[in-house]
Amino acid sequence: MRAIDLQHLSKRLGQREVLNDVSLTIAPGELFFLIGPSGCGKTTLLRHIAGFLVPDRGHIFFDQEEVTMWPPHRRETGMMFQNYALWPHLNVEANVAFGLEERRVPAADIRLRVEEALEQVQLGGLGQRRISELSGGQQQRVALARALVIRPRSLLLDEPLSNLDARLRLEMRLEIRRITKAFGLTAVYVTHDREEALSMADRMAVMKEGRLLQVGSPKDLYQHPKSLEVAAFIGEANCLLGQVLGKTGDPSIYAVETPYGRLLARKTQERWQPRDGQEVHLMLRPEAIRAAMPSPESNGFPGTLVETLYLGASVQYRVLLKDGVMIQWMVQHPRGDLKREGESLWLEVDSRDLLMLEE
Amino acid sequence: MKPFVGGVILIIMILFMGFFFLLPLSGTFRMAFMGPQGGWTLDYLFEIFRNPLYLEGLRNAFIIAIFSTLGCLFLAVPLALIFVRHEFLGKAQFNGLLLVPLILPPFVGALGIQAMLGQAGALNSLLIDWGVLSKDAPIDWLGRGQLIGVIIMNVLHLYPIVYLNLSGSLANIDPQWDDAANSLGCPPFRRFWRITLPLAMPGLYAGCSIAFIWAFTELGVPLIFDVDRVTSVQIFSAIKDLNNNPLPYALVVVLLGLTLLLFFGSRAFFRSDVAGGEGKATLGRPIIPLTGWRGWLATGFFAGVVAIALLPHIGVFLMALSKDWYGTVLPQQWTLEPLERALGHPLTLTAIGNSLRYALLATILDLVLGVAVAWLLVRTKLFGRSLVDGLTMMPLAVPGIVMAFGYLALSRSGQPLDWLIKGEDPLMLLVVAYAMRRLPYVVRSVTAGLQQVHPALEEAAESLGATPIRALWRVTFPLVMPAVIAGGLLAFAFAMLEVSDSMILAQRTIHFPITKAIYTLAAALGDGPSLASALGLWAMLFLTVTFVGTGAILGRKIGALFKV
Amino acid sequence: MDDRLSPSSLKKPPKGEPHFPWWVPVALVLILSGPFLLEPKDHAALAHDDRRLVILSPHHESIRQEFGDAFASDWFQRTGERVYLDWRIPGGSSEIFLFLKSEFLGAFQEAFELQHGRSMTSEMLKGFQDPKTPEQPSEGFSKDVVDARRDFLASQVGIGVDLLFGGGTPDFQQLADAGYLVSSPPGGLSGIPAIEARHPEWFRSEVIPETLSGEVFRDPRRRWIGAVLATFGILHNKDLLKRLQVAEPPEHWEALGDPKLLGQLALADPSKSGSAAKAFELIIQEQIQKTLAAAKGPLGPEEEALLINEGWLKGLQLIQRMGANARYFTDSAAKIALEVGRGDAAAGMAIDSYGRATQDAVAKEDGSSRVGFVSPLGGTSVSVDPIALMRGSKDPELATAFMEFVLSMKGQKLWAFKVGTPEGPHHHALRRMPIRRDFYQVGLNAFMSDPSEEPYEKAAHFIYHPEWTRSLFGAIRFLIRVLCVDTHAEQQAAWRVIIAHGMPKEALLVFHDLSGVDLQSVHQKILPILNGRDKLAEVRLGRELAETFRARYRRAALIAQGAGS
Repeated sequence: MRAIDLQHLSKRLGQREVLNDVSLTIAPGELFFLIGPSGCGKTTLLRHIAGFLVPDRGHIFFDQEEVTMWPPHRRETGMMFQNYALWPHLNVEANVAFGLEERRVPAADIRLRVEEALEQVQLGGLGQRRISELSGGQQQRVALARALVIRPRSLLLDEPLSNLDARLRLEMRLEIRRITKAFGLTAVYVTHDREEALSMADRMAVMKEGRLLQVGSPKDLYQHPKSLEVAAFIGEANCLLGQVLGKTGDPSIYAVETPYGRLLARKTQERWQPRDGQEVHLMLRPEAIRAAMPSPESNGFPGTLVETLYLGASVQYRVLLKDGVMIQWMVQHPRGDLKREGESLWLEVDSRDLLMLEE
Repeated sequence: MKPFVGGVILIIMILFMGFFFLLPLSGTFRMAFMGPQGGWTLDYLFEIFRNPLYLEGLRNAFIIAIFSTLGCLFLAVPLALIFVRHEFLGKAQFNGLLLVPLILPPFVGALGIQAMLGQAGALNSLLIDWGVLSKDAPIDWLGRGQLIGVIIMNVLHLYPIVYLNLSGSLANIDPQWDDAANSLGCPPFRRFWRITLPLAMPGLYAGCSIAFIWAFTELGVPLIFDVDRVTSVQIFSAIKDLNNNPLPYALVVVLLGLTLLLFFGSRAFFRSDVAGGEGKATLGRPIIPLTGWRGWLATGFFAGVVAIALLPHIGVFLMALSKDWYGTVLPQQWTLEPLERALGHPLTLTAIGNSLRYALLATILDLVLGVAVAWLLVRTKLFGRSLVDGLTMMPLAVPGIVMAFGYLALSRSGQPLDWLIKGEDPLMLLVVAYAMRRLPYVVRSVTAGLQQVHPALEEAAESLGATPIRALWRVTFPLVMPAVIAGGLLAFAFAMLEVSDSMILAQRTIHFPITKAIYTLAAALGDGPSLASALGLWAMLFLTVTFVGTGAILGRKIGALFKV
Repeated sequence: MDDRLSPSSLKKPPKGEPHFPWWVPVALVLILSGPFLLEPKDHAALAHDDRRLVILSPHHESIRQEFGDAFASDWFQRTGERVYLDWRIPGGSSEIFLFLKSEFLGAFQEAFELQHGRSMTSEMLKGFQDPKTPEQPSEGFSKDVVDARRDFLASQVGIGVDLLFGGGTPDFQQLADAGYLVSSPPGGLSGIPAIEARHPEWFRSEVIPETLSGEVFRDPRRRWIGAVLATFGILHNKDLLKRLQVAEPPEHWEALGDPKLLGQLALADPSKSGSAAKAFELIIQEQIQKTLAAAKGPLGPEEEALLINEGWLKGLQLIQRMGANARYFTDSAAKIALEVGRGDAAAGMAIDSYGRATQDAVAKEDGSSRVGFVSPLGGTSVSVDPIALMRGSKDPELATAFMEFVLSMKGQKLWAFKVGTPEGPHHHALRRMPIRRDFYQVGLNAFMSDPSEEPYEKAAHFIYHPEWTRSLFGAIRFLIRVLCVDTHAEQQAAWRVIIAHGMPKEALLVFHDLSGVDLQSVHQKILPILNGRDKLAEVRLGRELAETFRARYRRAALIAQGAGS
């Protein structure tokens, strides 16, 4: 259980700013995610926390203690690598025992704790096996056991599941979350898979080009993204353009003029005061759309159905709007007949679900 | 921490190379540019380029190098391709047998070749017996077109290096890359050119560059075949020249310049990256067994190559066990006398002890330095490391005799390196000289091995609480151990078989290493070549046991060890 | 899709599973112990030595072994002391020369700087061992250089070597003049003067003459003395000659120019082999002698000079033909003997010792041999293979004893006797001719390996005239290089074409065109450059001359082709 505090970290590698004034506080016991497109700096940030990189500027604190310059072997952070980094010349037991040997734990204790750790990841009894004899999932669990057995104060995970097949991945997500919570570990997890982040994280941060775009709980980020970029990264996002007309009675709801008529949208950022006439983006999620009858009170717009994708539990439609914009519309648990291509539709959305974003 | 250690290594290496490599060379350079009145002059260099003799020497050196390399490729490419992809009768045995040339000093092998290809040698005798040649018109294989003898000997000696590097590279190519091309409609031969060959380039380049530079600057083999119109021999002879010619120094400068140009130029062309390689994953590779006539063809091909490669060894073997082998396919008089006389010779005992001492100490020195340099090159991003890389490779390019003379000059009393010959014992000098010349092999071998070890493996250890040193010791070291051993073995073997430094720097008989003992015995009149062959045979046996034994101890076949 | 990421090259068993192949160390021990088990017990052992003698020598193995053993046991018998002979073998005469030069350079430089506290200039470094340095400062020689030379010649600077044993007379002369060899160092009488004091009878012309037939047998200044005789001859392979349809084995140098021997002659590069250079000089001397002998009537100096020049040119032309016949040019004389013995060459020039040793080595049980050796009567001088005391020897007494042994009857017998005879060699017959004239008079023929050899009689047929070619020794090396070695490809090609077209005269004229290298040109134009200090000029000259001759050879080939079949 350890708090991790990053303050104004900046790092330049070659010509690139790989980290640009990144500040972050991770609470004790929190399972924190870093996501973003490749090259955004999430792995770099992780490696700073691990101690493999030293920032040009900024500080790193573990529980109030400054560890910025500390080498990796002093930081008591267990780490899981993308390709597990299991040592081929040692068997399973020896791999797991490594950290304990470094800490001069007596041999008898080592044996016990190793066996215990293997049990915890459901690999009990496989200690004598060679790494090459294990399946991918098993290897991954050995890597986990190896990191856990030393009872680290925090756990760092660098895309640990990206090399597994889909089913295993789902299983392991649950395992990892269960284990980190059971051990009370503060964990920082890097991934590019947004489902993984959404399903596992306590809180998460979206990064791009070395900067933090937004930090918050999965729900926060999904429902109240600060920018179109964040929104598009977190989930499917439809985007309409419009101009601010003015406020309404509700302080967070604004009227916006669009090519499809006047729409009501919600502003997510409190401090932002849009001017009348300002160009804004309107973001809506595919699942927030519903079909309705056209009417002046309806917060909606017309469109023509172009494509239908039946997925069983849901159906995804693509709808072409007046000015050439394509909208994704998803209906869960579709009842009755599916809409047909070429059909004219009126799509409606709750004004709370139509987000007005500056960029 | 890392930069500090890296920096220390950098400085030590620069000092070491500066002192023991550049300093001796500088003496040579000084002579090349110093005019008769003591001034600075480029005249000698111009003279070289105007003189058709030296130009021819350079041209011949190129021809020898190019054809030797091509010959090696001609053998190594099909060998490697078949070996990596297929299973056939005798594959496991051939793996070791192919490397047999490594155990014989080429100039001793040249003696064997002379016995086989001389006018009254075995080959002619065989052809005459078969009626192909008439008794009155035997072919003088070695007399006309002497370059051929040199090229043959070079190819037979060097192809294992190209083969090993190439097969190592090929084994690391993901078969799925080939499959992808296949599925896109690319037929096998074009796949080879477009996919396989480019991906195997690092190994191919490594092997070929060593072979080329070696053949370009080799002295011993042309000497035995009396090819004197080649640059290395011209240098050697000019130094021996009783009129004290200053041109050899200028010639050395030219040779060195060309070699460096080739080396760095081809590096840039092939973009052979030194630092930061990711470990390559080798997925399960389907080994296709060859059956029927294909299988026999493969086996036959390998057997053929091994047989030809063994010709020098067979020649040496037969010479060692016979008295006078003349005009017959096999010797008529078998006797153990040359063996008894050679091995019981007072020269031999001390020579063997000396060689072991020099070679072992030099190998240890090489391993310490080589591992440090490889670590510097692969694991750090220190500025200046390409300088060290270039410096440590340079000994490959400088002919041994040049270094030897440089050492000799500098180790006289009063000169900078005189402390290397304490009490006239050249032990330290020879160890340094040997180590200097073998260092590139160790560096290359360990570098390649280190590149195969993913840095994440070390990082995992560090994240578990191991200090960087402990991580190196517990994780990296065991994993590069095969490469280290391979490099060490190569260094040891080549040190035992070393010619030029030994010839020039060991003056007293009690300091002779084996090669000089062999050379001395060979000059003995009458049955000198037999005696030399006998001692050469002994050396062959020793090295064979060493190699095979090490392979056995490490629990793997020898072949896997030698990827430089 | 499972992903296995363990590198395939490592399939090592996990910790704790070794299987040690025990045969490895056993095999190693066996192989290593072989030489120890076979070591003979009776050589001059390294272990227990009371005194050490350091001998620099190009002599091969068998000579060193026999003389080493014999001297050690002789000394032990006389004094009870064990000696250890430390042989230094840098290689042939050229290596020895280089070695001495650089060693003395270093040694004297150190001594000088120690004594005078200042370093030597490069002029001094070159001049102190240069015989041309005069005794007084003069043009081109400063006082410093002169002083340095004087210091050197008076000093006891040494390189840790006691004796120089073996080589050619010109080499010994050069080394003695440089100052490396001494007669008797200060501090008691030793060296050759001491031997002379003890055995004045040896120094009479009936035993060891000072000169014979023009060749110097011992240094008048007592710095070196001949230890054994040396002649030159032609080594031939009978099988090969038969195949080439050469009826008679070559008994004169001219036979080596026979077109039938095309590509079958083994020759050594005179610039790399001192003995080869000497042999070529003898060929030229023989031609000069023949030319002079053929002249009728008394000759004035001008006519004589003309004839000498003619002989000189004839000699060079014969050498051209020989060069054209050569397979290639080896770097050592020993290789010639090996090649002829091996059947790779039909004939070659060799010193008598090489020749006879090769003949022996390939002899069959009945004594016949496929190799024969002939010393051309009137074609070779009888010269010597000397021994000398080095400057700065640490044990001049012992060194002198060794020289004395070599010159004594015991030592002389060692050169010529068969194996197993009393006072003869133990392992190898050396088959060389003793220098002491009195050896041949005491009826020892029964014990000799070559009883029919009578070198002193042969000597009468050939008189060596140093005034003709001595000063040209270096020039001869140089000329043969530009005439034959550097131009071999073109020369042999032209010769081949000429032979194939029936030896047309015009072509031969061009082939043998030697304008530019007649004696006068050599003395006036070539020699000064060779003797000068500018090596670059020398190389340029070599290149220009080679070009000239290459052009001539090519033209000769063209003419031959055009001249009809």
